[in-house]
Amino acid sequence: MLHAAARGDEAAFARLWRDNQPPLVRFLRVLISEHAEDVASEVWLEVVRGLARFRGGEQEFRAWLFTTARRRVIDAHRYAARRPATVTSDIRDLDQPSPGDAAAAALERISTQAALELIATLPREQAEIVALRVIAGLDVARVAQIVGKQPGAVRVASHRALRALAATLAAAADREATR
Amino acid sequence: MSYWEDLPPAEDLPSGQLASRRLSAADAERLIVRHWAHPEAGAEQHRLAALLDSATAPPTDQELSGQAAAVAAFVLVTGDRAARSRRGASRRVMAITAGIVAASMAAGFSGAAAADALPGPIQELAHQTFGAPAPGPSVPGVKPEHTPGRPGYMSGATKGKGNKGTPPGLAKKAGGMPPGQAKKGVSSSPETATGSSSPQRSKLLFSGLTKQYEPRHASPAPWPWSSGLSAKTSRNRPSQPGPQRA
Repeated sequence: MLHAAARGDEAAFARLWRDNQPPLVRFLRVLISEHAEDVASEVWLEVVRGLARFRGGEQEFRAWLFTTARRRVIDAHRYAARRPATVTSDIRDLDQPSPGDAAAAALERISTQAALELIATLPREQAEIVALRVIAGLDVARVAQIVGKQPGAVRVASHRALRALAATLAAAADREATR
Repeated sequence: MSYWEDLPPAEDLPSGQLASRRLSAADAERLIVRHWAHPEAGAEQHRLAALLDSATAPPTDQELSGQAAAVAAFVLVTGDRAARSRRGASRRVMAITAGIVAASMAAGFSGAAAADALPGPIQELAHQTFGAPAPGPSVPGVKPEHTPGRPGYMSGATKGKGNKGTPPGLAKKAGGMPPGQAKKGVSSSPETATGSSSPQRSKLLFSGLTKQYEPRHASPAPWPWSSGLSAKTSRNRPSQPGPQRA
């Protein structure tokens, strides 16, 4: 599929896109909630331009895709830092759900969006590692390569992230129980 | 052995220990990889397993809504790339063809220059430029198609007998003798009478021609080789005994 897409096969590229677009958009939603689809389109455009030169298997392709996405996210953060959008505190509160709300939503609906919102409440580095490991399905070595850390540091960060998520979920469950 | 294979299997742990213990690194790794918690594990692990499972749920229609645009962009980029590669290939073919033609022309020119088969001025230029043989004696005023070395220049009778410098009109006349003189039995050179051919014969022919075309009052000869050759042949003519006289 990958080699056929690299040769210009539209059907193969469509299958490749269907397999990788959902995790890509979810990864971007964790890291930048706004404009995730737009950034995903830019990532795909960059991937299409370099697809003919790509060599490797499916895991290598996925690692390349998410490395490209991560670079785009960093660019988007830099752009936002240069041109900060001034928002009122009310809008900010409405826009970003608190960890408790996200956990409650996750407990109630267990929807994908609620789960992503809850992961997004983690510190950025932990959220990124959990998203790469869980959503992108990459192993420790590839995630370490992408984020530029040692594999042991990636394991520790993912462990801490899950403990933080478990604590948030437990607190939300306690609140639900006391109602 | 991988990190995952090092983990103790959750099924082997006692149920009480599973329910009460905190989330260990092994549990975290198991949850991340399998999104699965042991049935007797604590509630927090089940909640986490459900959370991670929902984060990797099957894609929704909304998530796959941009497929047509993505494929269109893919077609646009790959089509443009294919067109560029076709243009590049045709440019390469043209460059290779031009190179082959230029190399063939250079080889032909070099070969012709080495064989002293170029027209006089060009041969002289080749001689001065890259050391090709100097141009041989040619006849001033004779048309370029009579230049020595041209195909069809020599007649069948004189071909290969060392008289390359003979113009075709003269070669046909059995030694360059005018028809009137031939009737009278007067030969211009000893060789022509017997029909034999030698380098001397061609020199004699040249001497006649160069004398004919020499300017009458030109003090320095415009072609030093022609005056020298004519002088040499004129010196040789009377002293050379011919077979008829003998």
